[in-house]
Amino acid sequence: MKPNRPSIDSIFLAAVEMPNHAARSEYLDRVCSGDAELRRRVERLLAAQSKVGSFLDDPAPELHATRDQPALENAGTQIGPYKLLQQIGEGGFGVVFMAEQQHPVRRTVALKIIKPGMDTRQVIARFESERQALAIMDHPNIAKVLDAGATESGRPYFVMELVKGIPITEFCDKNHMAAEARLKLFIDVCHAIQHAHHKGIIHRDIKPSNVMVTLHDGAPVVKVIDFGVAKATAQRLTERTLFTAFGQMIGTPAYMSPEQAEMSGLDIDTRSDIFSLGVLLYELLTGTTPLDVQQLRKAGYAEMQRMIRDEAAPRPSTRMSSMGDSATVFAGNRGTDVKQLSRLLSGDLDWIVMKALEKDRNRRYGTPGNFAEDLQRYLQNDPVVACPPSSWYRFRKFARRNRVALITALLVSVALVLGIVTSTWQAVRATNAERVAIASRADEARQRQRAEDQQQIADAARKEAEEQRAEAEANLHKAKAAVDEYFTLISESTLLDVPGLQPLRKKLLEAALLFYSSTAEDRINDPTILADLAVTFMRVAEINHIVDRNDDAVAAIDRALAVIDRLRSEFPEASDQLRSVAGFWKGFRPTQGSTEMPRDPDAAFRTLARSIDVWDSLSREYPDEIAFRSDLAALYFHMGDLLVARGQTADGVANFEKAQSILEMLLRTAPRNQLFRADLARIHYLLARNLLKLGLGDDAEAECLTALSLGESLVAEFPQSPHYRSGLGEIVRQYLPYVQQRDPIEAKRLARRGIDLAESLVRDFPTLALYQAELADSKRAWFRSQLATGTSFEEAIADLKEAREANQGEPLLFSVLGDRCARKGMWSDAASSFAKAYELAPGDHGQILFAAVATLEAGDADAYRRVCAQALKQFAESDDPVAVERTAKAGLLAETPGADLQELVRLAEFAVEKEHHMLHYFQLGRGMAAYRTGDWAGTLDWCRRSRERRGDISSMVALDFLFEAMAHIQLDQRDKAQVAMDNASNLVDDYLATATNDRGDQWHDWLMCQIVRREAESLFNKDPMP
Amino acid sequence: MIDITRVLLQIESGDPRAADQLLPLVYEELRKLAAAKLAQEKPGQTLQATALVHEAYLRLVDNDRAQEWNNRGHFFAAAAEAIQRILVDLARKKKRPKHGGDLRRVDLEDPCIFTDERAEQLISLETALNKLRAESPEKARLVTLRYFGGMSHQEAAEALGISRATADRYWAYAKAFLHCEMSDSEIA
Repeated sequence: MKPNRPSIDSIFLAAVEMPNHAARSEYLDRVCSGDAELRRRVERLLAAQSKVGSFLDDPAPELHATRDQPALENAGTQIGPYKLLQQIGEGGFGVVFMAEQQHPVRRTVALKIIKPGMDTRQVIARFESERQALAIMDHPNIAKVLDAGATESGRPYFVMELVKGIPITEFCDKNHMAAEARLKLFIDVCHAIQHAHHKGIIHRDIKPSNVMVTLHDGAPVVKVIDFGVAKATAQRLTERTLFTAFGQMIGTPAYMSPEQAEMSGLDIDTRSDIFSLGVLLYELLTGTTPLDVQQLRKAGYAEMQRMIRDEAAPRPSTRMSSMGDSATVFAGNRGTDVKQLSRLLSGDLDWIVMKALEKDRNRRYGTPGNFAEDLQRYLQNDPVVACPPSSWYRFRKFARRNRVALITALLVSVALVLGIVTSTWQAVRATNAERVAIASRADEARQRQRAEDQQQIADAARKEAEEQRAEAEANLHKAKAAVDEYFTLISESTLLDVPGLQPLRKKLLEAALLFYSSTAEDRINDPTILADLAVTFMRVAEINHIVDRNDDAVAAIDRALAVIDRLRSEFPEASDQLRSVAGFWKGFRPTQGSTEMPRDPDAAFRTLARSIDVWDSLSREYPDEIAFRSDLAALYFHMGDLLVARGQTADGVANFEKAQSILEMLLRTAPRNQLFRADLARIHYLLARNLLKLGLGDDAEAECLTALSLGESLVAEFPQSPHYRSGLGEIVRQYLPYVQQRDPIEAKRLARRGIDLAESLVRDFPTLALYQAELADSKRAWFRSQLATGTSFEEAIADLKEAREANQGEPLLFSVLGDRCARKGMWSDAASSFAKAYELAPGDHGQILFAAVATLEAGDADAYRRVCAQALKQFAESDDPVAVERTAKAGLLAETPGADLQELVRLAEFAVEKEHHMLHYFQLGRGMAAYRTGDWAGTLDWCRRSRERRGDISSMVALDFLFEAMAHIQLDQRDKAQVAMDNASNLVDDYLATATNDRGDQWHDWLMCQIVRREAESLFNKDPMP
Repeated sequence: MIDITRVLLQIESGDPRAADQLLPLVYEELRKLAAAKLAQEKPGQTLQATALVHEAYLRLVDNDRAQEWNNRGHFFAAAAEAIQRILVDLARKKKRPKHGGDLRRVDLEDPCIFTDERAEQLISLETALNKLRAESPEKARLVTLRYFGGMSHQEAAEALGISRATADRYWAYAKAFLHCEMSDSEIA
């Protein structure tokens, strides 16, 4: 054999790929020369190759079950002391017989024999462990479990009190029971389960076939059966779930709680029963289970688990309205009609059901008793405990699981928009077809000879048109519902505030916006559609606000108001439709969280004022419609915000007070409503802030106290809500200064409370910058309260220095210490503190300018250069204009040899290109960049623009003048320079006069002026150029 | 329950002994599973061996902890080998004279679950596979993964750490090889 001959498989594979027989022979001759055995083997393989076909392509053989199963028990069989009388039921788990017990007492019982396939000894053992508890259960709505044992063929059986009834769902439908009667029966079920829970028994398998209804003297009585069976057969449950055809377990997974579906086995508690009760109530009310039984049955095991764990149930009212024709049947079975039923369901009843169905069991009702009480409250028209789960909460769960799905959502939204285009197109086509129909009918009237043909064509066309339009409308409706849901998900999620997700959030919302704008159509003469349209415009306003297009938001609200005007003037009877508008005024918050103010604040003001008029009269016309009044409260709230932003503090306060009185009234009717309480707390907080501005410190303190107690009660009741925690933190920081003077110990406690709140937020949401900032604020407040306990400023500084030793890694400590020292003019301490603070937290751009001015003033050029370089490294690529601008300004503050001027200029330019409410600050920075690069005309231009944009911030205007003065000197315009210098000096000196000993918390602005003024003065005093 | 997930995670973290533990574990579990499943089926119904493997995976492996393909790969590879052993054992048993015992028991000790023809085929395949293994263990393993484990070409290639193209070539050769060997044994 040749040593370098290829292996047999390479030869084989090469030969297979030869184009024809001749080439193959030739190849084999060559490669196998001298080895006849090899040649023979390859030939054989090649021959086999042409014959193998699909040999081995189908995977391994099947196993056949060929054994007969053991015979089942029949009527007449004797099992222990029981004689089987007749079979009365058969389910996935086994067969149920009516049986006669002969001793020790003679009675008729139900005997359930479990189907074969599990370890009988284990089942009996598990049953025995619960037998004591089962025996002491004694409740009129519970069928007692009497005994358990094993049949001769080794199958476990259970003996129960015989219940001659039918499943609760069937009973209710058969008797056309109204929702109220259903609720009453269901409340009995809750009480039965509550009793069992008290005795330590969890049912684990609540479903209609285990909740029977019998008639007792003509009155329906609920009987819950099968207690203890599910636990004893738990193993069976999982085995079945895994290994048997799903057909055998119809129903069960539909009632299973997520934690049961996880099959972690041990971790099932009473709240699983609450979930199953929720499913049962859902089915009683809507006729369907939250998860579709058909789909569950079709799903594979893992998919089924996923559905139970992840798929959110539509609210019962939503389910009713999306059921179409079948809803009519269900409504009929409930002695009502669809419309009435949906209305009944929407609102509190919806939330009661949804609370029981929470995937997270901590959020469900704690006990079946609580569940029943809430239903009782609902029946008595009292406010209920359940309330809408926040979209934020739902979103957080969604986002945690599905990072990828977020991206998918974007694609889906694009698909939706395309879908709309299609349905709009269908609608247009339908309208055209209809027009053809009408035209051809007219034709028919004139030309009788072709009447028959035309009639047919016309009918066909009309029919088609109607079908198409119905289809188009249905599509539109579906798409709209989907977008609504999806919009709510995105718009209210704090999670999408995470910096990296911001662009995605914006894209998602813009996709939704595109959709909404495409649904807007004029020339509509149907009040229902008009109301729908008004709501749509308000949604558009909301989205526009969220994506920072406040002018578009204002325009959308104007359109909504116009539609509502039409609705009211043209359809005075359409009160139901008008009511459907209630609760949708979300609009825009003129001052909150947006970087872009409405370009036309007057238009925003007018729109708000008009909205207030309209909603004021609506809430008078419909005094029972709470949502109109809560909308109105929100409107006053926004108006107050806008007025405060415009500097009209007193008017703003008046609006806040109006909002307050509405909210207080609403709370009298619904004292526990958390949204009203939260809004009220916020209002009191805003009142506190603004009353303080008006010099009404005592009133402000009172508002703080009210806000504090509201905030504390909300946090105590809803400890998981981040909004309430964050709101309370703000209130605490606002209140702190009052306490500080009066009671330093209490102040410390409060300050600590603030830190605890913020720390809990940061712990729960480590990625949210918002909460990081809150924590920083709280810590500063705490340090300040620490300071307040010191008897003197110097002592306080000593305290702080000591604290610094113990907290080397805490940048805030350094920054507070720097701040204290700077106010006292202790520049070298201030400089080293700030430099250290910034070094420890280079991402905190608030510190850049502090550190820069302090180090410059202390004459520590090295430290100054380090700070500037650090900032540049951190923020050169940032897209936050404030950070970028501060970086640029710090570097441009002084003539520094070796500074990367080109880069600093680029940053300053970047900032002024942004539409930002701090643009005038940026323009000053741009002017400084021009000056440092010798562009004197540019300096004059930018500084003037900055100065003119906002004339009331003296330190900044002084800086504008100073740079202008220096540019004039460079241009040898000494007179103009002198004027600018004088203007600047007046401002700076005025400023100095108000802050002699303590330079106040604006010391850095003052210092910046000082530094630049010295530069300007030395330039001024230089001999003029010859 | 013996924690197969834990073993998979150990393999993942590079524990060389863990891989040895996997096969016996999976083998035992698959046997139990097949027996339980067959006991519940009606007479005459069939059970796909590869479906068994997938169910075993869902049941035995904690999906939240072991989502990596590597883990799945290890499991399915072990399961394929286990299934092969189970089937071949059964086939061999079938060829031996029946022993007495409790006819009511339905489990894998009962060789009725194969037809005679299938049993013959399996034994002959096993013999041929052994020869292929002697010549090229990797190709034999590919057959095990594909035929007994029900993996796709792609999955099998990934499990073996070879390219899809290589796997295709191996497969073509293995089929021809096994076919030759098995027809030889028929003649013999």
